[in-house]
Amino acid sequence: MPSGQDIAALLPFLLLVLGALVLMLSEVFLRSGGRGYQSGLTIAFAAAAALAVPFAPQQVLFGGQAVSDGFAGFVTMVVCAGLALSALLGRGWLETRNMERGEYYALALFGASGMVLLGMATDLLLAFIAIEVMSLAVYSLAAYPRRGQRPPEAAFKYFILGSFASAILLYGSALYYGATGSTLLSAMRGGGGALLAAGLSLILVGLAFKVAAVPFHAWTPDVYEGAPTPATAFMAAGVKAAAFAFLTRGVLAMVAGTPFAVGNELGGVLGLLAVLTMVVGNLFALPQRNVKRMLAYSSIAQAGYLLVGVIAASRPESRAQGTSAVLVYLAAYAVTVIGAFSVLAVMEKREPTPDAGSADAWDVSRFAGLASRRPWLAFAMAIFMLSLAGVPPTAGFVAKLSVFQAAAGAKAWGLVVVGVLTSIMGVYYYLRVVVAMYMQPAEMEEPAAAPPTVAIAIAVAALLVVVVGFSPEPLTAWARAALLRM
Amino acid sequence: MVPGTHYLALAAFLFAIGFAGVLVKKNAIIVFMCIELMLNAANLTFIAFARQSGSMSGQAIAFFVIAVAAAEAAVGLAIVIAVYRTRGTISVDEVEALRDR
Amino acid sequence: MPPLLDNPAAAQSYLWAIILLPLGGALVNGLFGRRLGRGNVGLIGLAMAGGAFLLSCIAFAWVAGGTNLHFVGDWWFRVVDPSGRAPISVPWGLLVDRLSGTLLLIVTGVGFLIHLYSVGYMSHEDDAGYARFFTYLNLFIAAMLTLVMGDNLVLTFVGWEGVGLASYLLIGFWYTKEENAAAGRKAFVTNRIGDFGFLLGLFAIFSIFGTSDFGQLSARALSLQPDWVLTSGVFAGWTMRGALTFATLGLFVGAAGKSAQIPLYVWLPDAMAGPTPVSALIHAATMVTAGVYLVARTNFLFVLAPTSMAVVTIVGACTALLAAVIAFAQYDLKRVLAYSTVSQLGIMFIGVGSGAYAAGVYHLMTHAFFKACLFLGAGSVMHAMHDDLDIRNMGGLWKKMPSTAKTFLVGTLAITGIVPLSGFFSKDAILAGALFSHNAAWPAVGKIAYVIGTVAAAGTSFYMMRAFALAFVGAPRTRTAEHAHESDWTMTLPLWVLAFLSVVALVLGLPAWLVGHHYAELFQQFTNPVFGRAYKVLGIEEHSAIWPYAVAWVVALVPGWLSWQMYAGSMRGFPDRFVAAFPGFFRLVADKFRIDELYEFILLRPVRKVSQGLFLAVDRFTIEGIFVNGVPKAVYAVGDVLRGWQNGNLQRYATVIAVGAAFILWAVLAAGGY
Repeated sequence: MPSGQDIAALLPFLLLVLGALVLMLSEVFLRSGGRGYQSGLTIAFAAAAALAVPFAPQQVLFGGQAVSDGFAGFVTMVVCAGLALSALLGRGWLETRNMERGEYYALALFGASGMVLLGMATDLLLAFIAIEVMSLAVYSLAAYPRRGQRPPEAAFKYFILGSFASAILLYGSALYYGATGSTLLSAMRGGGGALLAAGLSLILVGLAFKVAAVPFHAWTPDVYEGAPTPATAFMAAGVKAAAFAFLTRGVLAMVAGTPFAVGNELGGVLGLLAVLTMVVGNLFALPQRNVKRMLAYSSIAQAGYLLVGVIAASRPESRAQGTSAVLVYLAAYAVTVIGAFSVLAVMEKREPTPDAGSADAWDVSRFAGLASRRPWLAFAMAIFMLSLAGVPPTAGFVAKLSVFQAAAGAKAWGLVVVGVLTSIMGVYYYLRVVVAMYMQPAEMEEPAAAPPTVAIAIAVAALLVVVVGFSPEPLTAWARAALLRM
Repeated sequence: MVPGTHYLALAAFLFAIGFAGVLVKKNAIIVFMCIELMLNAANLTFIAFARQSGSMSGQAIAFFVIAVAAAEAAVGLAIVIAVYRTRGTISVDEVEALRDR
Repeated sequence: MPPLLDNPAAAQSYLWAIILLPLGGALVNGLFGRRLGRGNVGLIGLAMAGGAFLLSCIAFAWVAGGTNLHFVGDWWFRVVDPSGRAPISVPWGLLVDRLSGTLLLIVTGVGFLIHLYSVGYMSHEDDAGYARFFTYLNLFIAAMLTLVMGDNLVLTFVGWEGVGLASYLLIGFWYTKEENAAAGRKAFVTNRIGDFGFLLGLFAIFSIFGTSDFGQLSARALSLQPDWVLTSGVFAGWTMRGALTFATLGLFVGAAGKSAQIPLYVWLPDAMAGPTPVSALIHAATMVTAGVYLVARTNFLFVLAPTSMAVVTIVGACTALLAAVIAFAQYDLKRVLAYSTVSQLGIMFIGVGSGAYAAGVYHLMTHAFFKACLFLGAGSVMHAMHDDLDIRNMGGLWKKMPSTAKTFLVGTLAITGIVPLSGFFSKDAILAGALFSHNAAWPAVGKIAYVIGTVAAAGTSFYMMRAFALAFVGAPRTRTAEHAHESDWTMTLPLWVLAFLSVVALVLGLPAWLVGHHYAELFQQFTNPVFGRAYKVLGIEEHSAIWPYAVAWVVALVPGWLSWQMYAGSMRGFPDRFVAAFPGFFRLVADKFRIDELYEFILLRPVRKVSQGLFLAVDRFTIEGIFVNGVPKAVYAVGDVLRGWQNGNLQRYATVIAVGAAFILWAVLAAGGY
């Protein structure tokens, strides 16, 4: 029987599930057409889940399969913030397209519950279940509009490739189980042997897919482009945060305790993935004129920087630095990317034409001259772009700095050099948007006004990015505190 | 009594078949079935190992996986239907509108 | 506000306002500028720059009185090690000492004058453009002040990036012209290469000292022995000198990017595509001197790394000469000034590289005055000439635009170093400083730099006089030049102020043999608290030789006189009379630019050939071809190839996943020996 302590520890997760059920039922019992309260309800549940985090006792759950610690709490907060911002964004976006339904919010809440669970998981089976809860919800969100060819195609690709990766991960877990007799992460301590090595390799493949590391990234641009923009924002912020949380836990478990032979090879593979991801992500992003795809490739590149943080976390001399850098990076990236996608949601063509030939709905030329027409919107977008590029004083700079500092602490100089060089490359394509907004004459028709909820989302995100950029200490201190309770 | 390694070999073989099928089959339903095959190969591996070590946990895991696979099937089929409705085909080669250009 | 003047603590707490005022101006103008109307926009921009100037004066009064102002800020970010200590902590701290105080006055003072000038100069812009311009200009001032006042290298880097951004936005201000956008991009790329060096240096310094705070760095650097071997950090096993050489060379790469030194100077001449006040403020007076400031600021690190100092000196000398030679072949008035800026920056680097810190910064200051004056003069000419800047099309502007011409003459004389203008004393102090310096690692470097620098100074004298003579003296050569008219007071007032400053700044640098020890080299005495310890390390003592002054005088006068003779003096009259006798037949020859070309053919052609060759080889091919266009092009090409790869086919993606998985399995199992 679960004790009261267990329930309190699981409360954030339970609140999100409850929210999902309430939202689903709201559609059943809805009398008139008014749906405005649904997004409010979603935000309320997200806020309630976030508020429950500080009260969650540090507790080992389900016989060691999960743990509610500071790390999980941090991830929960990031997921809840992402959920609330995407709900604000979704409200405006869906309403103007006349497709607002309770299912959208219910799916987002279910997805968030999976993410929160993944942040707590210390067991491969539980992680598999959490990944599936999260992914199934997000696949459905990608297909949500059911108009035109793009959303179903995005969902289709995401689903097939995602299930493929999940199956590989599960098979890896089975081998792991064979080698250790358990699916707990802690079971690999001191283990070895070919079976365990093979199992861990396959698990790494499955997780690398979820975090969109090269060469398991190919789905990202297609899915990000085709999915409705609010869903894309939620994916970029939430899925990445949850998947990286589990990856970090796995890597920490791998290097914890006695030295573990397979660790060296896997560490090398992780380094290779990081370099590939940084280089290829940035290279692919360079020629993109489609801002949505550019952001997708940018999210791949950011996964590379996050991997650098994970690698730093895997070294004993920079464990705390690396882990807290990953957390800081996840928070900074989540807020920034949702902000960027929110601006994109305002700027995109209302009805992207379904035929394959016209991908101009998100062309960078739509941003031309925005600074003179919508100075605030352009200002916010500039902040997000600079943050993604890692220019001070923005949250993105703080994040990149902590990751590179951690890598320097681990003496991983190759990674630092590749990281700094590729982020210089990144400036080219982020600045293309800024240049279009500030240095090109307006071409397109006057952009539509941002729906109020979207405007709130953008303002909140921009404010957070700047505040964290100027005064990162609360965030970094919080990340450090999270590690002390781990 | 069939030795445990035979089950493992069978599971690995099934996994390989599923893996290859995802890469080469053109019909989305068949690709989807191949993924299910991979999941079941993993299940078989869990059970075989469980039997080898005499613990029951592997068997319990298989049940969880079956439940997840069922949920996956529901969502997956719905997505395949959505693709079919908008394009009139479920050949994976013809779902290529989203791409770099 | 008496507390500000009575109480250093109060003055300290106001330091942030110096930055926040222009930053606030930029925000207000950027977000509401279109609705405010141009009068208010100009007023806000001007008021914010003026307010910053007033506060800077108060701050300067304190440091002049001997009290350094140090705003000890809260930390911005910290890196905490597992035990909870914070080995790396970067505060929001501001420091105004005699070095940054001087820069503070230059930036806000010249900045204010240029804001004033811009009110008139940009009046042809539409409302949105006008607001945009003042937004960027205020943004630039805020960033530059952060760069100057930051009490640690990270904050300096923040300002460094900020001025880069503002400069980029302003170069491309008239973005509808393709070449302007290209110039902006060139500036951006080149500076990024420099920034990379800066970051390397920054990381190295963090690794060696665990701090980037100037005060702490200086205390630690001067208490250590160069031969110590580092035991921890990245440089474990290196000597202190080696590690510092690495760090300071990194910083110098950054400085070379921002201050347009070989090989990263190429962006500066193209940056003249921006509006002229921008060229004057950013690309002549303030931002481009940031590199010199950085080297002077971190003098306590450079003095421990003689090799780095030698590199700084030699690069500065070569840049000074190369740019001076290239300036011979330029006809565009602003490009002449641009190359001359590059050349003068090289001279400043000779100064800070050979340990003549006060002289280097003194030249930075005088250069800010006279070069801003020259650029604003060029802008005034540009207005009068309807945007034509070809000096062959000018002539005779002395009578049409007296204020512009007189101030331009003052600027020209100052830059050529003719006694008794400020440029003479500052340039000579640098060259003499180089001559009498002893570099511990490379003893000859000071003498070589002296020779190269002197030749460069002679070149400066020639081409500046040529530009002045062609533009202002003689008869108008085109209709536009005939109808040129003087600009209004908002534009000429800054000219006069700057011309006045470029004359009176000389009192700060008078040599001892002229005025006695008490009043000698006032600036040197003034900055002694900052640089004194560095002089001690370098073993620099005062010199009082007179002959370098005589050489410098000759170097300034003779080429200037020669140039004047060729372009405006007696040697010019001869062809004119000749043409008057045979009007029809010699119409072609009488054409003034043909005469110019005749001189060029006989006298300047060899120089010009070399100059063009250098320009093509270094500028167009190496830098522009490889770094600015080549690298991005190659990167784009690779991106394009990769792009064809993402063809939308799901099974292709799955195959890559399979191959990746197989590779990982292989790597882990095979490498693990299973």
